[in-house]
Amino acid sequence: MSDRIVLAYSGGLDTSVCIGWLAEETGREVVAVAIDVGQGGEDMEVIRQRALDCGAVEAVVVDAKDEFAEDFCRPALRANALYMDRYPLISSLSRPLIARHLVEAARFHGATVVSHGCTGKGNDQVRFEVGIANLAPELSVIAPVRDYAWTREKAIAYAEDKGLPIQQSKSSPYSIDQNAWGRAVETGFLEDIWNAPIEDVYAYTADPCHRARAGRGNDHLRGWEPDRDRQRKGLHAPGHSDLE
Amino acid sequence: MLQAIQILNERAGAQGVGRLDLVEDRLVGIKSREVYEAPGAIALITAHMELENVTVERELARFKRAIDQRWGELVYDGQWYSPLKRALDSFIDEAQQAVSGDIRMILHAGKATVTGRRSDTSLYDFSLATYDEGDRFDQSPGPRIHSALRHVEHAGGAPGRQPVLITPPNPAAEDHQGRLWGGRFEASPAEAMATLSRSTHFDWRLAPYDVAGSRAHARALHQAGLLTDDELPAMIDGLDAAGG
Repeated sequence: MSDRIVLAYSGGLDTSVCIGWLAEETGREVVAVAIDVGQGGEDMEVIRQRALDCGAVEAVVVDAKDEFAEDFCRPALRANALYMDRYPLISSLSRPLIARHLVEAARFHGATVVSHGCTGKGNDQVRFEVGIANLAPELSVIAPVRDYAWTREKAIAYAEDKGLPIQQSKSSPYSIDQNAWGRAVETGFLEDIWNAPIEDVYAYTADPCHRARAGRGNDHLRGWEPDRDRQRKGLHAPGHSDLE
Repeated sequence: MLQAIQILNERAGAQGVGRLDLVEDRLVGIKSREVYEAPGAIALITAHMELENVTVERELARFKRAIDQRWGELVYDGQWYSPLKRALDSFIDEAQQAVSGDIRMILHAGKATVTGRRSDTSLYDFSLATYDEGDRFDQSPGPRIHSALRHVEHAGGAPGRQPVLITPPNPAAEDHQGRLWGGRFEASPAEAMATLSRSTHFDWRLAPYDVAGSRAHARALHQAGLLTDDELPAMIDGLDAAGG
């Protein structure tokens, strides 16, 4: 068995491209680990199969929804955790859980390297790497998107070149991270901080102003449910998991 | 826990609860604009905070707010597995011992609003809080003056001098209407005068500060040559004897 790399795999473009790229660059086998923290969207078995189709030697999916709720959301609730008095630490809570599973997988598969798809601009690279360093200081980390300055276009070109089984819309403007505790959205036009979010950004919530504007009762909300389709579409948008 | 989050995600989400749009301080040192949705998390945290208001003792609750904030910052910064985070967890565990009960909320127009609470471990005492019949709260000045003066005691005074706690008024020395004088006259004092003299409880709170001011004034008079070297200590002793 050759030395292995354990990759935190989301099923999206970046980490799918990472599988082949890591194998080529390092000559190691790649084990993809996908964690279900209640993000909804695609079936985890579909994601597992995609990892194998992209060249992973093994692909593991972990249903960590209850673990996430009990071990991470519950402590956050007990601490009334609101960063800057507002943000309930959505992605911040899933990263240490994912780090824990990466370390477990690395030990199980005899890997000495773990990998993630974060860029160098966000918080999540730090959260993964500090978490991993705390739990298993002997592991080293490789982050292709950050360390080799990938762009969305390069990743798409790589996927097309290799014929990877990913349908990616080049125009999807959203970068999204979601789990049971909440959902984070980034997109170009929100980078102008004067621009207001449009309704299209939201998938977990109905428009709270709609009722006031409509000036009527609750009828329009009867039967409302989260926008599963939008949750799915957004979830694996190309781009960067820099979400906070 | 997972079920509670999921149910509230749907129910609070349908009312637009938990939409957040803020410019956030990232741990890599930049500010970034973030849009989040966390209907279940925001509803649960709102309820939990109110449950703490009902069940957690005042000093512990005040201190916990600072701990909560630090906890959130640590987790945001990726320090989930750090020694400080573990230590704060222990504090929070201890602080949560009595936090249990029911919260009723209205989820409407983007807000989760608490409208009712009940708890077996409630510290709320109707008979102490009510302004109506059945009030058992002791509004006589004694106990509160003791507590108001406690910080004066701790503040000490000049080094080496034992602070003197002013003896609070004995309610029995006042007549049943709280008047300190007036018994010599055939008629009672005018109502306005009686009202004025009921301010003595407040005078007791001011007394130590008044005495401290007089002590400083005596020293100033001595420096100005208006009190002799003999007169000053006598004056200070007198003020010490008066208390404060």
